[in-house]
Amino acid sequence: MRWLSGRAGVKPGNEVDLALARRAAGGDEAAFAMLVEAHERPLRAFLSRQFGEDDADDIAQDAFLKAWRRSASFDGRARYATWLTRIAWNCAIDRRRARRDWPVDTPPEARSVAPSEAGAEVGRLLSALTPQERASLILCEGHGWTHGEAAELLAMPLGTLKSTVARAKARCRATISGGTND
Amino acid sequence: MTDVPESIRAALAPPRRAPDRGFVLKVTARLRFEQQARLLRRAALRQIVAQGLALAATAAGLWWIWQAPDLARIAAESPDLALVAIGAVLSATTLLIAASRRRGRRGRPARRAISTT
Repeated sequence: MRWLSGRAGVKPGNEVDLALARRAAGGDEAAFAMLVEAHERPLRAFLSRQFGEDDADDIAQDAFLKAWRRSASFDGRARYATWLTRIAWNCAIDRRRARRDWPVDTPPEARSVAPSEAGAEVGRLLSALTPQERASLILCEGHGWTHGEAAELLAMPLGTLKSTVARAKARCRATISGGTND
Repeated sequence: MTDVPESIRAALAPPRRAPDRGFVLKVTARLRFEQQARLLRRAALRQIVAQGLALAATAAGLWWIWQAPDLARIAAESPDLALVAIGAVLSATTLLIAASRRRGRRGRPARRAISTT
C-alpha cells in the first residue's frame, strides 16, 4: 500500500480505502464488500439520526450502489467516509425531491427512538434542531468530523458551519436545562 | 459555555457493534442484480441495433435491385408479378430474422435466478 501513500493528494490514512476503491472500480466485489463492512455502521447511524430508521437503510443502500458505480472517482484526497456520506446526502435530497412527503424537516424523535435513556434524550434534543444544525452536531460532535468536512457536506461556508454547530450546542443546553432558546 | 455533555456526545457517536453482515449481503445482492440487469439491457440494445442494421441493409439491397432497368421494365409490364416477388422477398427476410433470433436465444446460457434476500 506504500505506493499509494506516495501519490500526490492522497491523505495519510486513506491508503487502504483507496486501494479497495481501486479494486472495486475494476469490478472486485469482495473489495467493495470490505468497504461496505467498514463504513456501513457510521453511515447508517448518521442517516438514522438525521432521517429516521425507516429511510436510513434505503438511503444507505442507494448510497453504496452509487459509490460502487463511482468507485473510480474516489481519489483519496478526502476520507472515504466523507465521500460516501456526501453521496448519501445527495441520495436523501433526491428522495426528498421525488417524494413530496419526504420528512426531512420533521424531527426524528418519533422515528428513531433509541432504546436507551440517553438515546431517547438525544432524540428529544435533535428534534429541537433544524436539519442543518442536527447534521452538523451529529457529524462534528458524534462522528468526529472536522468542521471543514461538515461544511463541505452541507455546502456551507466554514464560518457558517461553525456558528451552526455553536447554535446547535446552545439549543441542546437550553433544552437540557428546560429553557427555551427562541 | 456551549459544550454538549459527554453523555449526549457518546449517544451521538456511531454505536459500537460488529459489522452488519446482513446489510453487506443486501448491498452486494443489489449490486449483482444491477450488474446483471445492465448486461441484459446492453445485450437487448445490441440486438436491436443489429436488427435495425440488418433491416436497413436489406431495404437498401432491395432498392438497389429495384433500380435495375430490366426489373423496372418487368414491374411496369406486369405489376402483379412484381407484387408477388416483393411478397416473396419480404417473407424470406422475415423467416431469416426469426430463425436468427431463435438461434441466438438457444445459444445463450440459461438466465440464473436473482435473489435479493
